[in-house]
Amino acid sequence: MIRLESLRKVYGAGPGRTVALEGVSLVVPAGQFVAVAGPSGSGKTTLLNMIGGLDEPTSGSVSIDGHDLGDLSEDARADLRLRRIGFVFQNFNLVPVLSAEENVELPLLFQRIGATERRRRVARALERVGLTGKRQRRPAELSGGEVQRVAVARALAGEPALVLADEPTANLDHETGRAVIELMHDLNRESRTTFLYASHDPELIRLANRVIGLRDGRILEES
Amino acid sequence: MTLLLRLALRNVFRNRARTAIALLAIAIGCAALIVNGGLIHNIFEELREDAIHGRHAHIQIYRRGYTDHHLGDPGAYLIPRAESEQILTLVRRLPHVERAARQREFSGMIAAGERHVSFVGIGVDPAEDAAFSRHVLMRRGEPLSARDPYEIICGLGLAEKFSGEPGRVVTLMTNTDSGALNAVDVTLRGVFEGGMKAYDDWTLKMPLAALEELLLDDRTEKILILLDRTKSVPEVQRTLDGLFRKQGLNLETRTWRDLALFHNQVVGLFNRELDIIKIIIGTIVVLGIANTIGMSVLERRMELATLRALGIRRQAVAGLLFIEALITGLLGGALGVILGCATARLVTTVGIPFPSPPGATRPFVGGADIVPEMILFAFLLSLTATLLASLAPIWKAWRWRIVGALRGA
Repeated sequence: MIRLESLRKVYGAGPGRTVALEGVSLVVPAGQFVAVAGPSGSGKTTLLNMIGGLDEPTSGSVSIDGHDLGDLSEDARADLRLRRIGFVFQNFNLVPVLSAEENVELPLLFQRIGATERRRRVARALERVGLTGKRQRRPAELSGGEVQRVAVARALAGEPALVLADEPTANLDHETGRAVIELMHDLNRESRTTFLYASHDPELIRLANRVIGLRDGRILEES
Repeated sequence: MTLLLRLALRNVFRNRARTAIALLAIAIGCAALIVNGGLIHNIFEELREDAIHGRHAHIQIYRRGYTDHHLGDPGAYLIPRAESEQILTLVRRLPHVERAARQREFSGMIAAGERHVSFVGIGVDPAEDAAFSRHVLMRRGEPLSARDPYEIICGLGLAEKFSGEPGRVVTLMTNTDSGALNAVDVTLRGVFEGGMKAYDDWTLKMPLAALEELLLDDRTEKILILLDRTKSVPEVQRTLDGLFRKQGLNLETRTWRDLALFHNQVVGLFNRELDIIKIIIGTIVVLGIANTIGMSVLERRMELATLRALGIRRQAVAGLLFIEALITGLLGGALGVILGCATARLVTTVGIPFPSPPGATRPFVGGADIVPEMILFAFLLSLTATLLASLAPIWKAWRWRIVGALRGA
C-alpha cells in the first residue's frame, strides 16, 4: 500500500522557485490500476519520482508497505526499489548493448537470484509481454512498442509489489500505446501488482480503475 | 561469462573509434616504457660487461682489511705466493668458476728516450689476461704472450704520452716494497683501448713474472675470478666467504658491483631519468584516458541513472564503470606489451648508434632489450594509470542525482 501525507516538493529558491507538489495526500491500496492524469507540468512525474524514492520531498512523507522512505538511507531506498518497485520510463531506457532478455535479467542479477531462477523469470516475463521470439534482439532491432514491452517485462521480472510508469506511451503511436496500457492492465489483474501510470491521453486514462487528477501540483479530482 | 562482465565488455566497445584511440594511447605509453627501459637496460649491460670483462672480473679476493686500509700500508695486505696458489686451487674447483688468476697493481714511471711518463701498472698472468679482458680492444700490436715476460701492453692515452708504438723498448722504474728503486727494460707489444679514458690514459699491463722480478716480491695483491654467468655472483661470493671461514683463510671478497663505481653512477643516473619518464608517461596516459572515459560516462548518463532508478546501488554502478576501465587498461596494456616487444626487437635488429658515454672512449651500437621486469612494470603502470583516470568520471557519476540524470540534466 502506498501512503502519501501532505507531500510538498519545491524546486529552487527565491523568485525562480517552482512548487511541483503542494499538500498531496493519497492512499493507494495494493492491487489497484491507477492513472495519474494531468497536463504537462502538473506534477505527475514528480509524484511518481517521490513514490519511487528517486527524489526527496521538501516536506510530508511517502510510505510504501509501511516503510517511510524518509527514514531510509540511499542504499535502503535502492534496495526497496530493486525488490518492490518496477519502473517503466517514457523513453524506455533500456540498455542498448544488451539483448531484450539481458535487459530483463539485469535487475535480477543484482537481487542475487540464482541463474536457473533468473532464466525462468526472464522467460516468463518475456512470454507475458509476447516477446519470447525476440528475446535475443537488442533494443535497436525492436519497434517502439516492443521496446516498451521489454521495459514492462523488466519491471515485472522482479515480481514487484508496485510498478510506476511515467508516461509509458508518450513515445508510442496511439494504437501501440493503448496496447501497452492494456498489457499492463492484464498483468495487474493477473498478478495483483499495483500499477501507477502517468498519462495525459484521456482515452488511455479511461482504461484505469482509478484516476488521480493533478493540476499545479495539487490533486484536483479522483474518480 | 556473467552478465555484468558482458555488459562491461560491450560498453567498452560501444564506441569503437573512441575505444581504439584510448587503447592506442595506453598502448603507446606502455610500449614507450618498454622500449625506453630496454634501451637503458642494454646500455647497463654494455657498461656492466665492460666493467666485468674489461677491468674487474666478477669477483676479487683480497687479504682481509685490504679494501679499507691498503692505501696506508700496501705491503701489509699482500698474499704470499704459496697461499695464493692454494686459493687458486680452491677457487677453480667451485661450480660456476670459469677462470681465476692472480693480479698485482703497482705504479711507476716509463722512461722512453727523453720522456718520463707516470703510469699505473697491473701485473697479470699473460696466459689468462685475454680471457679476463674480452672487452678490451687491441688497437695496435698484440696482446700479452706467455712466451716473453719482458713485454708490456698499454692504454691508448698512455702510449700517446711517450709515442709508444709496438716494438719500442722502454724502461719501467718503480719502488720495491722496501723503498729501493728498481728498473727493467721491456718491449711494448700492443696498445689497447679499455673503454674508459682515465683507464686508457694511465694503465699498462705486464706479466707477473717480470713484475715480481721488478718488485723483488712474488706476493699477490688480489685474485680475480670469472664466472660462467653474472647471475651466479652472489651465490659464488657466499660460497667463497664460507669456504675461507672454514679453511681459516684471512681473506675478503668484493664483487664487480662493489668495484665498478662508474657503472654504478651511470646506473643511478639513468634509473633516476627512467623514474621521471615513468611519471611523465603515467601522467600523459592518465590525462589522455580521463577525457575519453569521462565522455563515455557522460554520454551514458541517462542509462546509468536508469540502473540506479531500477534499484542498482551506486556502488554497483561505480563497480561497473571500474570494470570497464579495468578491461580498457588490461587490453591497452596487453597491446602495449606486444607493441613494445615488437618495437624493441626491431630497434635491436636495426641497432642504434650511441655516442660514447661520459668518461668512456668509444661509441657503441645499442639495442633495446626485452626486460621481463620492465614489461610487467609498464603493463601495471598502464593499468594503474587507466584506473586512476577513471576515478574522476566515476566520482562524478557517483554524485549524480537520479532524477536530474534521468532528465539528462
